[in-house]
Formats: sequence, structure tokens, C-alpha cells
Amino acid sequence: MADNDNQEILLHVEHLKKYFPVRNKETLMAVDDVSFDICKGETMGLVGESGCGKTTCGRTIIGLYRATGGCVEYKGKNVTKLDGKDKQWFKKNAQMIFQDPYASLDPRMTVGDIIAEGMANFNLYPNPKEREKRVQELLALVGLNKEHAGRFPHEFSGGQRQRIGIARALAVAPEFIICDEPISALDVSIQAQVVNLLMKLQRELKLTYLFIAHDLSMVKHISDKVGVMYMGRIVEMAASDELYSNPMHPYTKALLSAIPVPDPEIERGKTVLPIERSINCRNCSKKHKLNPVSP
Amino acid sequence: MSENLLEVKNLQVSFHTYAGEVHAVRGVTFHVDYGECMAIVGESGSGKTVTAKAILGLIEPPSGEVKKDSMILFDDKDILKFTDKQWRNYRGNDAAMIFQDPMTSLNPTMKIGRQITESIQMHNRMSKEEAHKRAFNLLEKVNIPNPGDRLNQYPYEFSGGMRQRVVIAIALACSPKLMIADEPTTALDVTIQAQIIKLLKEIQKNNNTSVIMITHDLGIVAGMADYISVMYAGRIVEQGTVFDIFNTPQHPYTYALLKAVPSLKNENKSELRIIPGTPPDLIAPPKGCGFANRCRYCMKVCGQMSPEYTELSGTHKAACWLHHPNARRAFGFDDVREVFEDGR
Amino acid sequence: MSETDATKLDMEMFTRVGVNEQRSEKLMRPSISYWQDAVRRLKKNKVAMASLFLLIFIILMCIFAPYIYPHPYNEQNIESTNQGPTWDHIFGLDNLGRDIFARIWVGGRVSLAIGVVGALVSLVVGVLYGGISAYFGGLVDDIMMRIVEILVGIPYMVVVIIVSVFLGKGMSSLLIALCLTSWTGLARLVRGQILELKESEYVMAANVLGTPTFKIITRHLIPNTLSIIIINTTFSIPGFIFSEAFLSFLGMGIQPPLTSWGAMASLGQQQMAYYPHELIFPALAISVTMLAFNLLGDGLRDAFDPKLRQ
Repeated sequence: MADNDNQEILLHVEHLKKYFPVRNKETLMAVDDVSFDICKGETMGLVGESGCGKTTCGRTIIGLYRATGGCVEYKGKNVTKLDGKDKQWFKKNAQMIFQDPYASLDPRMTVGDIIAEGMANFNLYPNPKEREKRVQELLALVGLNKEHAGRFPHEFSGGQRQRIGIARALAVAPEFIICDEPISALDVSIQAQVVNLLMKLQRELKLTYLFIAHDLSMVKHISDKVGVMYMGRIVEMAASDELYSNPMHPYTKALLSAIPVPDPEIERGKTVLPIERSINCRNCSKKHKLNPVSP
Repeated sequence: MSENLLEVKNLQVSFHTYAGEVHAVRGVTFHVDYGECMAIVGESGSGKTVTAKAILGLIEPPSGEVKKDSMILFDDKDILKFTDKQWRNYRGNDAAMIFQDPMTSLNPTMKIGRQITESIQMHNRMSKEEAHKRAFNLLEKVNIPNPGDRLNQYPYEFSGGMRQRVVIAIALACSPKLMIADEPTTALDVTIQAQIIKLLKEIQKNNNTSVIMITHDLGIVAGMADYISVMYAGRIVEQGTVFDIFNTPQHPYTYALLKAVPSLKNENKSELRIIPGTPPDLIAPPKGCGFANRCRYCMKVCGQMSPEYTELSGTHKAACWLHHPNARRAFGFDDVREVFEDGR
Repeated sequence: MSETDATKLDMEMFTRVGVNEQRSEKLMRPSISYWQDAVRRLKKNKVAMASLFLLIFIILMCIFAPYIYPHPYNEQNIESTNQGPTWDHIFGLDNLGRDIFARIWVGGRVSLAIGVVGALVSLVVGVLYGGISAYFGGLVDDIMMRIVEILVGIPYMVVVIIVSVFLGKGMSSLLIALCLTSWTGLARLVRGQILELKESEYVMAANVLGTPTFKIITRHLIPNTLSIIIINTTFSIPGFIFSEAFLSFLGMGIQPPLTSWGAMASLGQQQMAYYPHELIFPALAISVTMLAFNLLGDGLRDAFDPKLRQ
């Protein structure tokens, strides 16, 4: 892994908090003190089960939710309190790919219009012919045919829709993309297509990713470093290989043991570590963060 | 008495839509033994859910049609010729199904206890107290703590994993001989998934229940299945024991599927061997092999004629032209896996 | 395998061809948009199509019949009042000797106009109001909805009377009063739908893409609410027609020389015991038109329902 000190830090998240008020005057602490950095060209994976706060974390970073506390800095600028022109600058540079391929595309719009939507917002390609050409280029980039621009989302499969979502995000030429569970709803063989596409695009377009998922094997494959989230906090963060070969936190260990491995010998012989739901991680998480085992 | 609980022979199912006839299942044959677990593996659109629905008689005319040549024998009875009354006796009692989404499989306005006893009382002459007691035992069996309190609760008071256990309890209510689980853990977290799979394995062993597990997750299949049928584009492309399939896959699709899943040992950020393209739209079923368009070893014959099954062993068969002696002669290999590895 | 098949399997067939990626992404089915699919489903619904044709017929008759039909609507034949239906006067004559057939189509113009105009005004006000309330949410939504609830509590008769006091009786005050009170239903419907759509992922994506609020409302939220709007509007037209008929029947609505179905029914009711045809024809006109709109609305609702898609 490249030396962090010489790399430009693209995204800096510091003590990020997002709380939601729920009934009976209680608060749901969806994201509770999360901090990490992502360098340019890097892929960071954020992993955890449902309810751990990873999706909320991603949405707060991109600006869909207003942070309750902490700050997010993109290229040095604080984006949690942005308005107007600066906010537009951030939106052009930071995009998002969503989880549900069936809900993330407007069913009444054609594919071409969906992809071109962002372009109009930043005045890219005002000439309609140029815009059409660019849409076709984007479709080809994600492995679809240019005839598809005139069709509607419901005519496509899940994997194809997800690729349309990727083309839409790429249309505004961002540098940083948050991938919010982009493959969870797809078949296994299609997942591989989408992951390969994301990796290829990263190489060609020099993109930086925050990859949020609950599928640990896929996350490990695509990420340089991985953070494990549990109940709103990052309980362990390490380089990909390191995390899987040497997990330290009990939750990480339990999670890894539960992944089904496509090998009958292993599966039929292993025991799954149980997760004690009553573990209160609040005390120990801070210690793990502050004691990096290795840089 | 035959040794097979369920025999499916040449099952063909079509749906009539605005754009034409969709041939969802195009000739599927397999059998499930007593107490055995058969896994049906495939992507969406392969026809696996439709096959399961056909076994439970859930294909509704006029849009759904089970073709005349199909045959399904359950305990030597031809279920495709059942009357409505026979279907009602069979469903829930002899065969039960667990669906994918636990959030929508339960009636949100009915207490859990009543949803279980409803099924029991429909098939057995039991008093309300006896049915209630049986429901209590069922919740214990699926490891739900405090079953007494839980019987009086509503589905929204349960978490996803618990709800799926309740669904399993309902399916078990009348001790069915066959349980079909259609992607039972896809909507659940990985840790909960492990628990549910463990539960299903126990049920299979303790009650000698046959299980048909429909899934796309090869990890689950490795842990649970005795036999595997790999489905693609409405047909079974390869069938064998779990060791046959994982250790010696003989069909390009099976092989590609196994390679598309990153293992924890893979080199980080290496390119995954993908299967390009998407499954064919079965409104225009391909003339030859359904996988031809996406197969890197596709030959001219693959696009013209549909391959027949080659019996590779007593338990293992695959439908691929690569097993034809002419293919061997053309490319010079002994084991078809040499083709897969080298791309010969 | 038959013998003829076996002979085809010569070595030439076993040459490698590889993956055909372009073909593997091809879409086989004809392209069909949401609206085309809905129209197709509507066409299959015979009852709805019959209602549609009936309505078109009624509208055309209202527009053209008075030009074609030989007897004008306000010509009084004093010597043959209250005459029943004949070949010459198809629906008969009323108590002033006026031809009822002609009056039905002239009156229909007024009734239908009120129905359509009222529904359209309701539509514009209701959609804007509900849309704004839902999009901004929070305090704005609370205040706007409380206003709606107050308005709903006021019976429209009271509003009609008050407006009539200021503007006099007649078509304009009738229209104003009806429009003032009837947009609330659609506003609530639109608000509910938009509240739901607001949380959908494609609206979130539009937000992340930098799409301004106004464009999100017009390009994403409203088109996806259109089906509800169309259905509701189709159902509200008969409501307006009936309200007008009722008010005119009571004398609060259309005043002579203008006539409407309600006014005709009011006159006919006075002669009901001896000359029932004077009441039956306007009543039929009202009932049949309302029924046709309702059946068409039912058909539209089924056609637009995504769950019934095949």
C-alpha cells in the first residue's frame, strides 16, 4: 500500500455524528463518532451489518443528511457547512451510486435523460448533439449499447440498471464516488461484472472510492483498507489483507467466521462464532481506534 | 414405493405476457430423496423460483401455464392432476415453502400464534388448546426465546431473523415431508444467515425432511446441499453431488460461477473472472445452448443445437457440447477442465 | 438424437466462436413506456372504453347538436306545451313548449363546462398546494395542512350562499364557490404521494447530482404523481356535475335564460306527476354522464396500477 504521507488526502472525516430523534424523546445515534481519511486514488471499504450506520455515514458525508456533529473535509474545504457555489463544487466532485437498482432510476425517464440529468446542472455539454454523443460514450464505457439510451429502466435487468447508475454518476466527471451497497441486490455473476467495471474505471479515470457493503469477501477484494462498523462506530480499521488474516476485534472475528465459503470441506467442518448482541462496544472502541496496531 | 419423495420430469412452464410467451422453464428433470437436500443454484431469470412454485401448484392460469408433457410425482402421486381439494391437502401438509422476504411473508395484522395455529388447524382435527401447545413447541424448536410471550405478539415486534424463524415454524407446523426454501437468507445479515442455515440443517436431520434450497449463494450450498442442480435460462445445465460440482465442475457456466465469487484468499484488486453479458430473455428462447452468447468456449454447434446430457458418473451429468467426442478431437484434451483452466 | 442430427455434427461444427458481447446485451422486447403500457391496458378494458366513447359522443352532441337539430332550444311553442316524445320533438316539450332534446344538449354544455373547469382549477390549485406542502415538509407542511382541515370542515353550501350574496346567483358565483372548496381532496392525495416519493432513491440521486429543487419537483415528483392526479380528476368531474345539478335544482345555481341539467330537472320535478318525461331525460343525462366518468376513472386506475403490470 502506498505511503500515506506523500499522498493527497481527498476526504477527511473527523468525529462525524448523525443522530435522529425518535419517539419518546429518545435519540437514535446512527453514526456516533466516526473518523477516517481517504487518499486520492484509494478505495476504502466500510463494512457492517444492517443497522450499523454505514449507509447513514455515506449519506451524511455526501450531504443528503445534515451532520449532527463533527466535520467532513474534501480537499481541505469543510463541506458539512457548505452553501451555494461551494456546495455545487462539492457535488460535481463527489457523487454516489445507490443500492437498489430498481428504485434508484426514475421509471418515467429514458435512460439517456437519466444519464444526462447531471450534465445540465453543471452546464456541461450545453449543445444537444454533443450531449447525446457524450451519453453514448458513457453507455459504452459501462458496457451498454447506444440504442439503450431511448429505453426505460424497467426494460433492463438489475445489473444493467446498476451500470446505468454508474454512468449517471460519471456524467459529471467526479473525482470521488461513494458506492452505497452497489452490488447487494445483484446476482453473483453480475456482481463480478460491476466490481470489475468499478475497478477498471478507477484505473482509467483516477477515481477514489468509499465502498459501503455488507459482503465482506467482495469488499476485501476491491478495497485498499477496510473499516468495520458496529452500532455507529468503527470498531476496527486495517489494510484489506491485514484485516482478514489478523482480525483483532471480537465482532470482526465473529463476522468473518460467519461468511459462507464456497468450499464444501471448509463449510461442513467449521463452527461459526456467536455474536453476543449485548456486548456494549462503547468503551472498547475508542481504545482500538487510538491504538493502531500497525500504520 | 419408489425411493424418491419427489420426481420432476421434463417440467415446462410458460407465462403469457403482452410481448409474447415467456418460456420460463424449458424441460427440467430431477429427483429428491427422502431426507435429502437438493440445492437449485442459478441467477435471477434462470427459472428456479418458477420451478419451486410449480411443485407447490402456485402457477396461476391464465397467464401461467404448466405444459402438458410435464410431470411431477410426489410420493408416487401425480400432483399436476390434483383437484383443488387435493392441492389444499397437499400444501402446508405434505409440502411447505419458505419465501425470501420475511417482512412480507407474514400477515402484519395477525398475531404470530394465530398464524401458526391457523395452518395447524386447517390440516388436523385439533382443539384450540392443543394447536396452541403445538405452536409453542414449534417456536421452541426454532430457538425463539420466551415462546409463550412471543405467541401473542405481532410481526412488527420481531427482527428480520426472528421473523424468518417464525416463517420456518409455520412451514414446519404440519411436519411436511418436503420443505422448499426460496432464497431464505438473502434479505438477512450474514451472522443471522448462519444461524438460519444451521436451523434448517437441524430440521433436515432430525425430522428426515427433504429440503429444496433455492439460492445463488454458493457458500450456503457448500454447507448444506447433498445434491446440486445448476440452472440457466430455464434448463438444468449441470447436476451432481456437492463434491462433484465444487471439485470437478464440468460445465462452463458452473465453472465461471465458482470463479466469479472472490474468495478471501484472492489477490486483492485482481480482476475477477466475469461472465460477460446477461442471461437471455426467455421470450425468444435461444435455438441452441442458452449460455452460448456468454460462453468463452462457444463453438459453432452451440448456437445451432441444444446439447444433450452427458452422464459423467452415476451421480453427475452436464449438458455441454464440450463433452462430445468431436470437441475432444478438435481441441485435444482429456478432461474438460483443461479447457477451463488454459482457455484451450 | 436422430440420425439426421448426428450427421450434422461434423468436425466443422466444433470450431470455436467465443463470446458475442454485443448480442448478449441486446434487448429483445419492443420498447414500451409507462404511458404506452397504461394505454394498452386501458384499451383492453371494454367497460372503460365504452364509457370513454359514450362520453366523447355526449361531448360532441353538446357541441354540434344545437347546430344540426332543427328546433332551437329557447323557441316556445305555446300551443303544445308538455307534449311527450314524438318523432319531431325527440324528447318532447317542457311546460313552456320548449324542445327538451335541444335543451339537453345546450344545458349539457353548461353542466360539462362546470364539471371540467371546476376539475381543472381544483387540479392546479390542489397539485401546487399539496406539492409545496409535501416537498418542504416540517412546519410549512403542518401549517398548510391545518388550513386544509379547516376548509374541509366548512360545508360548501355555506360557501355558495356567502359567495352568492356578494356576487349574485349564477354560473360564475357557482363556479367560484365550488372551486374554493373542492381542491382539498386532491391536495391531500398529492401531498401523500409526494411525501412517499420524496424518500425514493432516484430523488436522492437527483439531489446528489445537484438538481435544483424546482426541477426535482417538476421532472421527478410530479410526473410520478400524474397517474393519481388523472384518476382523481376523472372522478371529481362527476362530483362537480352533481353539485351544480343539486344547486341549480335548489335554485341557487344556474339562472334563466341559461339552462343546465340541474335546472331542467328542477323544472321537470314540478311537472313530475303528469309529465314525467320532463324530469326523466335531464335526470338520465346526469346519471349516465356521471356513471361514464366513474367507470372510466375505474378503468384508468386499473391501467395505471403498477402492480397489475404483466
